[in-house]
Amino acid sequence: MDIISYAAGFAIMAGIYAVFSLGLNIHWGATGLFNIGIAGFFALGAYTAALLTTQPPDPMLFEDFTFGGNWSEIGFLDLGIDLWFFLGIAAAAIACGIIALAIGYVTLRLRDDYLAIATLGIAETVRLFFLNEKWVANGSKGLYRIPKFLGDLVSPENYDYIYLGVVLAVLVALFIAVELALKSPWGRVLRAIREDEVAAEASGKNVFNFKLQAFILGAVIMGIGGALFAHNVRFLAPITFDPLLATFVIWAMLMVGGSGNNRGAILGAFAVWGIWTGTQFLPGIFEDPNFRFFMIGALIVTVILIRPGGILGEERRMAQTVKD
Amino acid sequence: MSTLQNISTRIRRKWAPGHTIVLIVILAVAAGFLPFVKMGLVVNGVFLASIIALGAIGLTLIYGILDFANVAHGDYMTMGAYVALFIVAGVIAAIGAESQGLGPFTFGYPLLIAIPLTAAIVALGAIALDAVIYRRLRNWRVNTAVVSMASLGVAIALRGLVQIIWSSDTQNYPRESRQVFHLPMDVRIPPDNIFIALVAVILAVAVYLLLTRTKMGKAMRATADNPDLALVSGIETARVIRWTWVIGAVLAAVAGILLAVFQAHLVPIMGWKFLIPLFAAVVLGGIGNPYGALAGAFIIGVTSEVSTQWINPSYKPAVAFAIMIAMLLVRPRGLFGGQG
Amino acid sequence: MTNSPPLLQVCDVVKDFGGVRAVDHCSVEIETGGITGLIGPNGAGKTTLFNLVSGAIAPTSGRILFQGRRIEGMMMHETFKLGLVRTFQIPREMKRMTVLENLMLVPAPQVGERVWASWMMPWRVAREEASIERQALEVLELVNLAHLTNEYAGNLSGGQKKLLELARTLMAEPKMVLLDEPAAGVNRTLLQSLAATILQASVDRDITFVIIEHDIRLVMNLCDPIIVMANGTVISHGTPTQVQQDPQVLEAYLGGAVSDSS
Repeated sequence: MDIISYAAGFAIMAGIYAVFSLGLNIHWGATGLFNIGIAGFFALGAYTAALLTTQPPDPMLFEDFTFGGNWSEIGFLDLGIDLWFFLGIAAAAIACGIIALAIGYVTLRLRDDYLAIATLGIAETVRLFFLNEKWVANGSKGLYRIPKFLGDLVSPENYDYIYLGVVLAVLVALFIAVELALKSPWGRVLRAIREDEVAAEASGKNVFNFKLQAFILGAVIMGIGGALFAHNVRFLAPITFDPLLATFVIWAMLMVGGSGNNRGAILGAFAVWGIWTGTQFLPGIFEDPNFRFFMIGALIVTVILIRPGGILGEERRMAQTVKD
Repeated sequence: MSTLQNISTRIRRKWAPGHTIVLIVILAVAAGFLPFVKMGLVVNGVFLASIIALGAIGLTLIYGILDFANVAHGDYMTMGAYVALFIVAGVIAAIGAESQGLGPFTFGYPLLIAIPLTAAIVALGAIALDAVIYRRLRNWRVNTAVVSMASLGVAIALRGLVQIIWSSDTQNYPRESRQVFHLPMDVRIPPDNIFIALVAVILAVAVYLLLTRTKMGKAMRATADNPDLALVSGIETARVIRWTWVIGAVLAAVAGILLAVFQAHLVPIMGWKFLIPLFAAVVLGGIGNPYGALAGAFIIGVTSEVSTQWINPSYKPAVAFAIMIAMLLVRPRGLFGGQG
Repeated sequence: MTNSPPLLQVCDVVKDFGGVRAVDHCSVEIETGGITGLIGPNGAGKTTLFNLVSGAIAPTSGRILFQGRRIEGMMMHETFKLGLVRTFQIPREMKRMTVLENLMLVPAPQVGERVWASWMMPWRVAREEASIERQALEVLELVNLAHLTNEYAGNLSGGQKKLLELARTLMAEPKMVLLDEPAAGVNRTLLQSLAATILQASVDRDITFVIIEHDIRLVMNLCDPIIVMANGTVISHGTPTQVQQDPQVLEAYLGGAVSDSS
């Protein structure tokens, strides 16, 4: 029994990471956008969803946390179907989309790596905001009692299984959507931009516009991932969004699984998360979390040098046979 | 019209390096005399700026010459700080040499020995990493973003390495004394900061002489200015690249040590966090332009320090980031132009 | 036709790079139809002129009009939409995309280029894709690349990449095509069919071509009129015979020191 519930918990986290990996695949795999501030979107998505769904503190209980959101009191909560959960996810997606629009608008006209610097900056700014503005989300002490999906309708021992279903459903839906989009002419333009911006421009594509769309769509998906995360761990603090587990690991997942390939992105998430959580049970040097930290970096470099396409690599799109 | 343009470009070319920087420094200090700005913050900002400058000059040279954003630059700084810690607290203590306070400073003479040793070690490390990773990627002519990506991997691995060897706890160099100089206008300066500024100035001047007086320096500037043209004009690229790494790594290592002295502690994430002001200074000054990076460092250092008068001090990186974004909106090529 | 303005007008255009003047008060007009050759010694400013006209760079001063519309300072995708397409001297193919994909990318506007199109109206996108693919396969036949349809563009030879560049412009259904050294690296046997393809496209598809080319024989056979540039400006403009007899042209080539028989 224990192993099954452990597996469920593992699959939930891996599934959430797979959502991020899919989003990053739109950024990097398809378009070549270098986002090193995933943690910013991660945190923004998670906090947005949490703030919208968490009950305000009850003054009678002298609870030691405060925050700005008491939206959920408006009354949807008792509808049986947990509407606020979905509204929270949508809001997380929109919040990340707006931030992506702002950063993208400033930097996507400029040379590639300006985006990287800007995402790095926004990740730190988001973290500092939630750390310092205690009125928003209780600062460093963190936000807890983030509700479960469906509230108390599900018994605690079964919650993981229900939530695993939710995560997998969202993951599958996103996978289909991203797969369709990247295989469509829209995705073709993105890949053209990744290969050669100037040539894409000469082929009549508004490169800035497409890059902006890709950046926003990827960020929206990351926002959804953040929201799913919030309702899984049900406790958020700025320290949760350390670049290691909120940016670097996701990069390793995409690179290992196969950048440019959505299946690879998901495979990589499960594989790297498996390595990450699995190795801690091994004796010796693997027990040291710092060694695993080092390993993540080494993994990225190794993949770039030895197998740039990752495990699966990008698929070649063949001609469909056209009947006359 | 065209003569006017001619004259203005000629003036800009002639005046840009030295004079603009002097002007910016004067303006920064003058800002301290404004009634609503605390002089102490400006002075502190200047010290911070000198550390940013060391990192940013190296970063901008690498950016200009090797044509990628070296995301690992902050972690080269971290490496420098920790290698120096190892030398100061480990090696020198092991030899049995007794650490003595050095004048008014909090550190002893071991740190003076550690600085050049550390710089050499980090420079060797940078060259080794180039040989193993970046040289191959250059030969494959991959996209610049892929090279940056590799440097992200290097950044993570370096920090992991630092944490494996020295743990992720906060540490500090052995402290020997604690004094403060009192200056007029309610300015208090820890003697350490004087040392920081002194080292930074010596290194900045050394780099300036290297870039302007030596053949290698001129080749480096030419490459940073226009890589294609430099290639055509027969500059030995491999040597230029090696020297770029050496200079970048030496400056980064020393900047890391100085940062550890400045904030009086070491944490493995210190370099990664420092990337934001570094890149802000580089972007402000124009990519590939070392003088610009110096000027940018002053603007970022002083502004973000002075901003703490009104804004929560922990927002300093956000302030640096905001200045950079504003710059990108107004003048994407930076104050003094650079590769766009 | 007599009253309509020239298809392309370049009026007194100047382009400076730092201190170097690449294009110096250049004025030229190109009428609708036909194949215009643009020749001149290396460094004459031919490619820079292409870059200016196509919108890759903006002129320092001067005006450029396409069909009577000012286009200087437009982006390349904007001039593309007006029907002005260019190729590159060094081919810029999408390496990790197949030859077919390189071509299917080009037609505009495509319904499927909207993010949501593949979610909301997949059938329409599929129909559109099928017709674009048919068009692309036709063009590939035309330029003799049909056997490489599913090959990655990065794996093509230099000459094949040049043909792919030409094919790309044909996919755009343009009014005017600027070809930058289309014959460089193309082997002798393919050269004849390349010239034939250009000629055929200019007649059948009503495309006005402007061609930078160093293969003088090809230019003299294929192009009329011919424009000669030197030192950033036009020094001669006329029929092949007129240009060949122009003493200024001879001087420019001899004075230019660099031989041009590549």
